[in-house]
Amino acid sequence: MSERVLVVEELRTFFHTASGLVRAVDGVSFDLGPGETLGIVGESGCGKSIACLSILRLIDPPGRVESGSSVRLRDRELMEASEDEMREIRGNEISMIFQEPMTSLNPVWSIGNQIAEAVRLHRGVSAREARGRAIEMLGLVGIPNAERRVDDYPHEFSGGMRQRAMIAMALACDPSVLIADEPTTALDVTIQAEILDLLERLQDRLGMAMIFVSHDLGIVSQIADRVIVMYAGQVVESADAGAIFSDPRNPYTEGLLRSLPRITEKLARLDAIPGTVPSPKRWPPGCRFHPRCAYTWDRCREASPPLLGDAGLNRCWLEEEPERRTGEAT
Amino acid sequence: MSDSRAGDAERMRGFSAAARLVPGLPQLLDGRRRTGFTLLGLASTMIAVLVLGYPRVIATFTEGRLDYWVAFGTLTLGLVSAWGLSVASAARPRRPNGEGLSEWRIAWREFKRNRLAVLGLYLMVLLYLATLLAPFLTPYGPAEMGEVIADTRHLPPSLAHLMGTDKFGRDVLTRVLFGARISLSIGFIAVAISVTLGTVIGAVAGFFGGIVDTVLMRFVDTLISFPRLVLLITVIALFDRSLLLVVIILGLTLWPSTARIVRGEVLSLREREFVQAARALGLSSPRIIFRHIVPNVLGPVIVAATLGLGNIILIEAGLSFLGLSVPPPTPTWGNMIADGREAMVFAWWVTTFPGLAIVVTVVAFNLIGDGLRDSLDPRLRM
Repeated sequence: MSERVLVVEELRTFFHTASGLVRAVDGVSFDLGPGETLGIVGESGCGKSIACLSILRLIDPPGRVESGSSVRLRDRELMEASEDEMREIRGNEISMIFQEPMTSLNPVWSIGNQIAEAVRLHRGVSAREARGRAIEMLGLVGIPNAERRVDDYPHEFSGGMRQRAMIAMALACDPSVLIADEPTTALDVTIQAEILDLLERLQDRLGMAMIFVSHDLGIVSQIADRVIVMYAGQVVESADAGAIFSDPRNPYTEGLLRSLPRITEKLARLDAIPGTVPSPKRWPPGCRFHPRCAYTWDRCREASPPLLGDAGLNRCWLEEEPERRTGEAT
Repeated sequence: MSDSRAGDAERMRGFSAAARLVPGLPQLLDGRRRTGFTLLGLASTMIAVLVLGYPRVIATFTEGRLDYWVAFGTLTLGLVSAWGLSVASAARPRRPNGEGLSEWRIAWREFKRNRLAVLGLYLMVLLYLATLLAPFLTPYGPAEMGEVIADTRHLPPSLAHLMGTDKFGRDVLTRVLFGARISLSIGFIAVAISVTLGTVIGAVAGFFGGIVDTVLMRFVDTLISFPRLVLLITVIALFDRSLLLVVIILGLTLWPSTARIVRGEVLSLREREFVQAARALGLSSPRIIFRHIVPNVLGPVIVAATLGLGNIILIEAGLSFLGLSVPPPTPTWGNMIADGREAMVFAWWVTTFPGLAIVVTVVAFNLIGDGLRDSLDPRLRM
């Protein structure tokens, strides 16, 4: 195994609310090599965004990253870093871009000003140099006329341009890890494709590792090298991007893939996974997916499976009793 | 780009030297009537004051009283800036609507559409000019009495005394002008104190939430539930009366309402993604509060400040009326009304003019406040 840039182990983020303990992220582990793209897929509420925020320790009370969780950037344990050290890491070594480009920029400052702010903060360069860097970054993310647009305000940018500006801001300090939390969800399909293309090009050029969060399997299949599928705060399957789409092993992943519309087939109705995501306050006992799973048998109700299998990792008892899959598949 | 620049140069060449010397003339020639007349009017009024008050200009240099220096300085500064504005705005290329506009520019454009608010703004500028120019505008001193009191007291308005005289034969117009200094500066400083305190405390409470918020806001509730007049009277009774004391007390008692407004705004702002994004970029909390959150609440704060200014002027007048503000013979609008109230039946002018001054000032500030609220609140703009 080559050197890992980011290693997340047994990440647990719980919200201690008045109405009970919410186990939003419950023992998530993954790692990331240099220049690699990891896709995180899952339905709304499965804990993928919370997991990303936990890496940067941006969880507000009543939420808490529980002890025993470990996030290592190269060999540095982030969970033990002081708040000052974390501020040095955020935006400098690990950057994050968000879903909503329309509100992710401060409306009262110009775009260039906001990019330059991060550069000045982490690099301690002069205002003039920071501005130069802002222009350079805007050019890099494909904003035409960057020298002029640098003084524009966010409301003068379109949604796609704002997301580009956000990317410029996140990458201005050459981070080694970029966390992209559904960066294309709020955009038109054509703009989505442009942004994905941009992220891939920038990754090739700057060599950063990327965590790409999405609920859209199609997008993840395009951009990711490896994919983890999350359900109910846990990783249920982890495999290479190609394998997960050609040969999904977990019933939940199967369900997700079946619910994708396909141009080649004409269907009256799309398959949907029955039921809804359970409440994070009370995960079902045993396997958390069993109430919605087509293969469920006694063992699933009684005990939660660990991550099993050799090819990829799969949180399902089917790995140990593969004969049941053929028997009851619908 | 180059096209419009060439056009500008041409336009500038079109103006004769004379046009450039007279503030407002280039604008008038260019068809921008309102800007032109405003600048021209302002400049000619100041020149008129300078000419009519010529003996006082001389006195400025010979006697060197601070009052005169301030007035003279204001006049020259006013003239220079009117001229500078005129030349600068004539040289500036006219931008097509909506290009390269910051939120503040858009708000200003919106504000200009509200005629009443612009009227309020003119009134405010006039009021502040009047207070600064007071010694040049009137030949009398604020505490100057007539030579024989029996002959000069309670004179009705005439050319010599435009607003009549009071029971000591002092010129009411002079006292109204000098009284404006007290009212407006008390209002201005007290608002500055209360808005600063209120913004910082409200932003901190709203941003950090939790126990910080609870403690600060319960403190605010306590202050708000206290009858302000009683508090003021108590504190003033404990110390010597002075201008400074009144300013500080007013400033320290008025911040809670600003704090509440700011806290409410910050509560919604901190959930906006740009705050999350700023944290993800590694910005510290104080930096996020003061650089990213506070500029976003300035709109409501400015509105609260202008409305608060009117309010403070009223409170100060009330305190003066009760004899709790600045000690006599310093004129304030409140104590002028209090002084004149026994004579109201036969010398109406003694109370009416300071009363009118209060009304005009408060209305002007409220008009500005309303206009600002309309132009700064994007929800109302749509």
